[in-house]
Amino acid sequence: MANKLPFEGIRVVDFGWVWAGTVLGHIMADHGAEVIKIESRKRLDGLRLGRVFELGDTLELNPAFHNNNRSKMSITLDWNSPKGHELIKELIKKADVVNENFTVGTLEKHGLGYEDLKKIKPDIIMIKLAPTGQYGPEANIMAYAPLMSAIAGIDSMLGYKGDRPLGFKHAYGDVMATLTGAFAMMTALRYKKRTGKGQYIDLSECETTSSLIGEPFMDYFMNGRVAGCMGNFRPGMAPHGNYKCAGNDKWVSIAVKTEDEWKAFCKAIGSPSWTKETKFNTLANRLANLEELDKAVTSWTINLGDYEATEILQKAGVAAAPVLTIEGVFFDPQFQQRGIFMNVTHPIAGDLTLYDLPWQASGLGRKAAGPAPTLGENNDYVFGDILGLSKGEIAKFQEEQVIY
Amino acid sequence: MTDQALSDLKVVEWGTFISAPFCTKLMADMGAEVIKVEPPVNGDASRQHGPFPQDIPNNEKSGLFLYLNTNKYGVTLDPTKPAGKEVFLNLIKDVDIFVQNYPYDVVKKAGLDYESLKKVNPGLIMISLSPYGLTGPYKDWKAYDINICALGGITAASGYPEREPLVPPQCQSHFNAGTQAAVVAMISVFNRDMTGEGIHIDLSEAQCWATFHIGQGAQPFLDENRIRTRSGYRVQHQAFTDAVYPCKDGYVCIDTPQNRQWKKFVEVMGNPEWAKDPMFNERIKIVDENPEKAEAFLTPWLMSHGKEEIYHLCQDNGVPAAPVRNVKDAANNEHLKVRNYFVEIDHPAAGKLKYPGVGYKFTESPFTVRRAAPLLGEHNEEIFSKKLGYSKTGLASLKKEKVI
Repeated sequence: MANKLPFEGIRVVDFGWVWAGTVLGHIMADHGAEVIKIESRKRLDGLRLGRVFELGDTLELNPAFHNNNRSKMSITLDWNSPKGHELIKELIKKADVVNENFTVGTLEKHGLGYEDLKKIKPDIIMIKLAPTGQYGPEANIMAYAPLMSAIAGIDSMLGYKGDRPLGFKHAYGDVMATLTGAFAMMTALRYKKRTGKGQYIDLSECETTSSLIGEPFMDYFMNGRVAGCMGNFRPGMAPHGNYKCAGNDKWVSIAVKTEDEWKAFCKAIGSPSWTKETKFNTLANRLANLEELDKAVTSWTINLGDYEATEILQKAGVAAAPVLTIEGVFFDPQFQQRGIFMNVTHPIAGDLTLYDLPWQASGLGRKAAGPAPTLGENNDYVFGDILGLSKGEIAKFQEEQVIY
Repeated sequence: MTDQALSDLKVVEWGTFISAPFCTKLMADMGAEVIKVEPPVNGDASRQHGPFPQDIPNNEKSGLFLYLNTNKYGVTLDPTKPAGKEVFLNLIKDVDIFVQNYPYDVVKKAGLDYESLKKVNPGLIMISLSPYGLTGPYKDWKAYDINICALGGITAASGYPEREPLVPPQCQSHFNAGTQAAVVAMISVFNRDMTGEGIHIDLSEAQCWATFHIGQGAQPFLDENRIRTRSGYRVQHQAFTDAVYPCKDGYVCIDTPQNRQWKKFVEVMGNPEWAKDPMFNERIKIVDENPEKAEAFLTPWLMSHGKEEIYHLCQDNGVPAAPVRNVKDAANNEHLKVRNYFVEIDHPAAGKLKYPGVGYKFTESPFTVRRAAPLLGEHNEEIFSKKLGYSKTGLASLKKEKVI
């Protein structure tokens, strides 16, 4: 008999939407939890529509939605309606975890705050993700990922050295908050398994991001120093940067720290005369003449392909790697061999390529990969099998736009 | 002692710098007993990294080390020496989780690979962090943070189109991978509950980028050849405005994907005449067609308001905007003070300092600071003598051989 999956038997009522609120649920679902995504035609997850909310066409096509909601179930329930409110409470009574990332106060306003839920399910775990957490003077802000990395402090350091901040161009705050949220949710489940107690978790997405830049905070508290943009410069390393290669917008990253690495680097690039100049002979001299050094390094990389330069350097034991876009990632031999994407088929969207979980291990219980559920796909199972409604009752609620 | 979420988990870390230490920090902060194994004499590389108070290097006062290793026990031990290996095997015998990020070759050569450790501890969960993974053509490649970011796809979209791509600040590949390692460590604990068996997790830091952060882009690339590249302070393929702009006293990030948000933003700026320009009817085209013109309209208003002022004016009116805060702004932020985000820790060598805390608040099993980061070898006697039963003379001879 097959082993049970890690989270088998755990039921998550998942109000999470868009990005930060959804990925932690798919991680749970991928490893066997029954994660029920609560949706409604009256208030759709923005990702079903696409990032530009006004241009959405159908509700099943956005790849980002499939990435974030794979392996989950979906029900449509207008939990704002009196009858819907009763049904959601019945479902929460049979759940272990409630997950949400609405604007602060939304569920409380509808009688679904932690204090309300604790009364009907004393050992419930409720995890709430919000940009700046559930309380405090800035707790009511509206923020997407770019705003979170701005508030958290990390954007102030992302830019060319000594230049203006440019900001993180991926949804860094969202992804790190949802991963940290997954960890938090799992630790609370562990605590519940041991003690029988549920609890309430208030997760601030900006704070989880601030916790990723401990070093400049420590420097501020120790020395009052305020870190600015550093570009590709790192103290103690030279050369250190992304250098232009032959071809259209191709670059190779190179990092040299120790004296041995510098020697290996010089040898690998054929010991051109500039490598023997005094101004580059020590780390201190290389750092003092960084602009010239970078130009000299580029004079070598510019005639080579990004992978070509990488291989020459790696053979010599020098850290290097091509700078890849999503296209490069998709075709890269290392990623191809390790299989970082998976193919799934959706009844409406067709064949989809989704990212696979990055952790690789034999023996780690995983559910067979699938796409996100269609809107309301699991209404019959959830309302019928879990909540015990008859087919007639379900049809009536559908007609009344409660199950909608 | 308070019972915390992970109080019953025993963890050994044989790690260096950031990725493995950040993973075990997350667990230690939630109550796990983490024993950190450091090389004798110099200890973890982050001890030499800094920042140091008054910039005076000191093995016991590195800000990065202090931040990453709070709540852990610390021992010195060289498990690559035969006598050290024996001590290490005794240490690992009854722990739940072993986290390491030294090159797997070194681990294997020392006879501490998973297959060997499984023999002394069949239920062991072993997490191996590496730049590119333990399999595949790049498994032996060298890497620093900049190379992992490059290959993983997070670098390519940062920077100006006409300049070199930018690595994110502050070694984010290690913080990202450390977070994901903590997630999969928790999944493995639940997996072991179900199967009774240990596991070896092979976690590639580059893959941690290429999946959760970048992998969403695979389908849009395959469908429409959509590839995100550098666009400076703007974001491609998004409705105007989604960008970081200069203002009177710094920078702000403004992101208005929804039409009602844009309309509100125009109201906040006092309904200027320029907002009637037809270009604003199709905001999705602006970034690709002529962002300079649209931005020139915004500039006078932005430059006459401060970042916190813009933040509050916008947020009060439902417009997603945020200040680009630096570490000083964050460290003195009232909201974070109210939430007690920063914690004060008294360390025997570094003294009383503030540290970033964690981004989540648990009602039942909260984050607590139980001990400051360990001095080098601080718990040798406690762990080796009291816990493992080594005699004083035995320890003295191990010390003489530089094993501990």
